Amino acid sequence: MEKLDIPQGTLDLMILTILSREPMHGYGISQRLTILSQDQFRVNPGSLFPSLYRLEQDGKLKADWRATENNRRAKYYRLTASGRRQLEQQRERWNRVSFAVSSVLEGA
Amino acid sequence: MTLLRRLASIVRWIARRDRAEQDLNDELQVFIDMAAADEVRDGATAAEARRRAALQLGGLEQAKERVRVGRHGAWLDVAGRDIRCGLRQLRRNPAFSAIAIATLALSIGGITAIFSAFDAILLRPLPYADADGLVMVWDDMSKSGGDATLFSTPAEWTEWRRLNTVFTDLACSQAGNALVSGDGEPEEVPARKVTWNLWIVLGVQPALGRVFTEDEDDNGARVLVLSYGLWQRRFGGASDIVGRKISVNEEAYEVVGVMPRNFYFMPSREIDIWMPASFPPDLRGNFTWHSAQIVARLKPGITLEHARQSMAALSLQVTASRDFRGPHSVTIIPLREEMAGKTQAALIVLMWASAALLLIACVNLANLLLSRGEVRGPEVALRVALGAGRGRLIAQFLTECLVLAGLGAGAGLVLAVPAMRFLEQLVPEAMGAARLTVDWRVLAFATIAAVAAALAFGLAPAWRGSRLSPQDGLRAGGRRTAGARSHWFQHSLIVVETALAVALLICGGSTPADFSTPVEHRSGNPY
Repeated sequence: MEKLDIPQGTLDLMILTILSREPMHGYGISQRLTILSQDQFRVNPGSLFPSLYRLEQDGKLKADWRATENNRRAKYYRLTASGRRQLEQQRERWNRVSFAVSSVLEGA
Repeated sequence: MTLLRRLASIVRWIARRDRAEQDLNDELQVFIDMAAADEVRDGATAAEARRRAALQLGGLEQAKERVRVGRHGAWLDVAGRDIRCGLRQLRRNPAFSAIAIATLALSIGGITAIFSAFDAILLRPLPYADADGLVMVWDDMSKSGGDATLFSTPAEWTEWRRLNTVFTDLACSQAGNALVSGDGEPEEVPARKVTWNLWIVLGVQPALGRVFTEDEDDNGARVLVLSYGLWQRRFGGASDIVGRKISVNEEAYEVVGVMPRNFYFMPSREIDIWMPASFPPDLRGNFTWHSAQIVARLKPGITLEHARQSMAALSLQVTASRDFRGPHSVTIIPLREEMAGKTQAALIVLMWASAALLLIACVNLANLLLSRGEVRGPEVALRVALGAGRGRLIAQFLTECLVLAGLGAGAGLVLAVPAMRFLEQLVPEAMGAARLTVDWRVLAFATIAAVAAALAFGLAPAWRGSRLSPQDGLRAGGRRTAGARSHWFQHSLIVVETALAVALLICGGSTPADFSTPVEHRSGNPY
């Protein structure tokens, strides 16, 4: 089956959610996205990295270079307090949107 | 995120852009390495794994570019590149650049210098509360063949104060001289004898101490108010000046206050001492001693026209039998107009003329740029072929024009300074020896003029230059099909230019009359 493109505007929400569990590097985030979406989402790094950099610039994420478990160096991203707040807001919003959409679909 | 924090993050990012770029490189490399390692674990050969990983990244350079343009402040980066590109273009055509910058320097410098005078004389607020409500009231003797703006008499002032319905109050001042002595070299300073309510009418407060009271004025008390200038110059800004007795015209006067530094009032900025008018009783009943300059404040809601009619009627009534020259009317002139005098008309003409000059310069430059646009066809075509959108091309052309206008404005400001020294002669005496300076208002004006000029001469060439399709420009010899239309456009530019030149000539023809007429002097008894 062809993989799905990530819907507009939800990539930030998913990145924030994944990072709320633990700090992670770019490749880890893309792997996690693939696994968690049951292999449905095509995670193009060409859209992952712009999002990461913008979130970092906005102060939602903080990044530093650290050693991985395989002893390589990688840039790890973690959530800031402001990122956590944004996650809560976006999550709440998403819940409302998806509830509304499925209500409409089921009610029709 | 607040605007301030966003701005800070942009600045931070620009400051460490090279490191950020290195960071991005490293990070994408790590991504490829990790992806490749996973592929190898899944059984691919090392080379194959690397190829697939790079493929997955969707092209390394594209990914980087997307990160770059996705960041806040990315436009700054683009603008920086366009500016550098614009400067390179200018260096490549030194003759064109020199002509363009010189043209812009002359016209932007000219209009900026004139604006500085315009601003200082006509726009800047006068140092009084709500100065728009202030008017000067003169006797109008034109019916009997005299001056339309003759000094009034203290007697008229008394009557007008008592009977008028349009002013909150009227104040009166007379010429006077003061010989200050006793505490150093005797010094003759310009002074005014003013009624106690002058300060109330003008709505000003002294910087130190107080002004004199109605009682002091009526009783001829020996008190006075100093100008900031005299206080500093002669008394060294002494903090205990209020209450000090100084010798003026060989009599001891008590200093009760010092006016603020920026205070001045008719007839000139040079007045150093204000003392009570203290009209003697005979002067209060004398309708022929024209020595008083009168300033009044309109009641709220009273129009100038209403005040004129009402005061004309009152004046005819008051002077019906008392002035041997017969009954006369009054002339009411808003204070600003009074102070700017003839300069106002001259400045407005100059402002228009220099705007026309700037416009002519822009039309010329637009023409030059249009011609040059044809030469640049192949370069533009190449950019289009490489994927530059029309918006990008227009932005780049306009940035080049802004660079040109910026350089022109910079050179223009250098030229404006000597021009401002010359224009200072226009500042009316009532405002005194105001120095015209390049302050932030003048700088802001020059910036706006430069941006407006850049748009004026850059828009058409940018629009036209960005329109061609890749094939057109790349075709050998760059022959283009837009010929007829471009000639039509360039011809109309020449028509506009000629029209502007004619308008300028007419302006120029009418200006000398404004300048050569000497500033008319108020007549009346010198006191």
